[in-house]
Amino acid sequence: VIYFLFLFSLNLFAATPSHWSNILMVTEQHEFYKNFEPILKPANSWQHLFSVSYIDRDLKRFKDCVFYKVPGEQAGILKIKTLSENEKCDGSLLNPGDLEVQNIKFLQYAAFDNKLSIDITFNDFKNEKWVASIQGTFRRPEPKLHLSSAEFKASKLIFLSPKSQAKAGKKRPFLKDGTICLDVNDDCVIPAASHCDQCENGWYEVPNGCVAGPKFCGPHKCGGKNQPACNRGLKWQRASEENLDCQLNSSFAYCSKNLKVFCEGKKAFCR
Amino acid sequence: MRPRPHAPTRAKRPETPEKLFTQVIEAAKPRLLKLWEEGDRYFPKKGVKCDEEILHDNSIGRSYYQCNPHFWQCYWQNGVVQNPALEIELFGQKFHVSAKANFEPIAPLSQNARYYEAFKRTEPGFPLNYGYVVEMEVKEISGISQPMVLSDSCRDTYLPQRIYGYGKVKDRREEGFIWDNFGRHLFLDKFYVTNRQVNEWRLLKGEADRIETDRKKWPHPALISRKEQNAYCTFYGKRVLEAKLFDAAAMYPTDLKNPLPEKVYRPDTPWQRDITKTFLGMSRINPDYQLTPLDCQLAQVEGCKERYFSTDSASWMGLLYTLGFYPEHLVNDIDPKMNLKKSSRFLAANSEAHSLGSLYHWDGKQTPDLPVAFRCYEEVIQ
Repeated sequence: VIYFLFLFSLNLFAATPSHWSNILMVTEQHEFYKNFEPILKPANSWQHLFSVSYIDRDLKRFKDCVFYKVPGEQAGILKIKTLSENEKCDGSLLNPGDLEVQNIKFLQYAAFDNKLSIDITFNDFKNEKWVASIQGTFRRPEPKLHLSSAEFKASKLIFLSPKSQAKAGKKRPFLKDGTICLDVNDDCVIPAASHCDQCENGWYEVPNGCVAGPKFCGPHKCGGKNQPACNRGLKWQRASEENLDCQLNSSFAYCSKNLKVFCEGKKAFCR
Repeated sequence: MRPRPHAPTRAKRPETPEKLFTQVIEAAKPRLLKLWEEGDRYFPKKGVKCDEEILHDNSIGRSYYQCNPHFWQCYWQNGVVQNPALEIELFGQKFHVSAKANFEPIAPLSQNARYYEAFKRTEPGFPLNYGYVVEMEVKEISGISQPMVLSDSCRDTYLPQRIYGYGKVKDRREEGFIWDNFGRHLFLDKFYVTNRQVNEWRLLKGEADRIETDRKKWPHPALISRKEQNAYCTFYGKRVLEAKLFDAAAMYPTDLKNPLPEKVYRPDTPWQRDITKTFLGMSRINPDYQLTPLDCQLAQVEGCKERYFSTDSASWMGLLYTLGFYPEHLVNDIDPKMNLKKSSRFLAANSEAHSLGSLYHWDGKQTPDLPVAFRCYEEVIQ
């Protein structure tokens, strides 16, 4: 108790939200405010400073939109609104937050790779410092012998936020079977990143002569009658081409015994 | 003047209990991971005292206890050592990190509160399909705990990108069916799926009444119908292992450094290209051949002692039980009827089935004469 009273007397007691104990990353940072720079302009306006993303104890991804009303005629307000990670902060700018800190005279923040800090000075010149450690973005290791899929996908230990945020944000649905989750066009260009990790029942591929063919949500199926052909690869032929045109050379695909590869455009199916 | 020697810089003790807690847990991370991933190293010679979690006998290899939630439970409920807390020295103080029994008991298994909870994700966004939530606390810092996820990092292993062959070839000069997995990230289960894993699946599906309660059988291969095998692997975002992947993982590539070899060989065994030079080949010639313990470690055939989770039969990329042990279901999209690796502990050493690339037909039904194991694999998109 004496230790806590001592900290209070020094105004060092951290009121960092408890669910920020291990945040994944800081995103959507304001483009003008710099680390450790007091935020003074534009006075009287609400600004979205940044967002903090984290996983709650129910394994759901959330983000806290951190807003600040820059002091002017009235004192500043720090406002935090919790949303699902895929929701946008803009809609919450003028709505009440889940946590609001009033009577702020100055505020500055700094976000680094492994640490986020917010310095708050109140009208009575008391000071609070919030500090949160950042787990950081996971970088996939180079795949090699003896690597497991778990290590390839995520850190071996993932820290969760201690609280459940069940009431906040909207439920994120899985992608339905049949939805394209990785588009690969006929020129082998991938216009957008894969969403196949959002499929509920896995995914299957339709080989099209590119290193990676387009992928769709749904149970894996290949080689059977009227099913996509199976992927045989592009290098076993030791051909010089990087990609193959199904109509000219369908050796990148195969079908089960007694069925043949049939090309629909550049995509390979079995009949 | 001599410069004044620098005082060693000591990390400053954090000012708040929250920050101190975070640093203690961070320091404990390697020890926690070691306990989870290398449970085999913690397994005492005298055995463990937690009959509701583990009924160990000498037929079970220690690798069964790697990434094993029952071992985690046993450890924290004092079944492995008397004082399980992990001692962490930091800022000149000793801290004791422990798991909290914060999760509901699994009624059909035990009335004890659990030190972990298995999960399968219910929303996209989390990077793992499944894993275990645990919650850690520090004895010296009360009122704070840290939930975290332990992943199943001991289960599968990577199939390197290269050209591979499938099945046998009639003539060594023939190339047969060859294929490649360049640009694909394939991870294959090292062991058969066990009764313990199938129990976990059933519990997650709400089928507690269908679990295997004989703890001695938990490390054994799960002998479930073909339909259930497919359902099990799909549930975890995986697929039942394919025949061509099995061959790729079992057949030692001639030149590991060259992923694009001119010729793809089809060795008869994972440890020797020519079967005649192995105990399997000798058994074919000599009906009186006596099996040695080493033979049984490489391939458990008829006459060998029953043993599970031994690691001596590992192939070049870490797949186990590629010859002998149990018959295994393999999905085959090249020749769908050839879906069984028949080589097993139920066939004599001189059986022709004990050879890589030899496949047979399985009708999908489990019988006492033909118990069929399975394993899963997963393709991960970059």
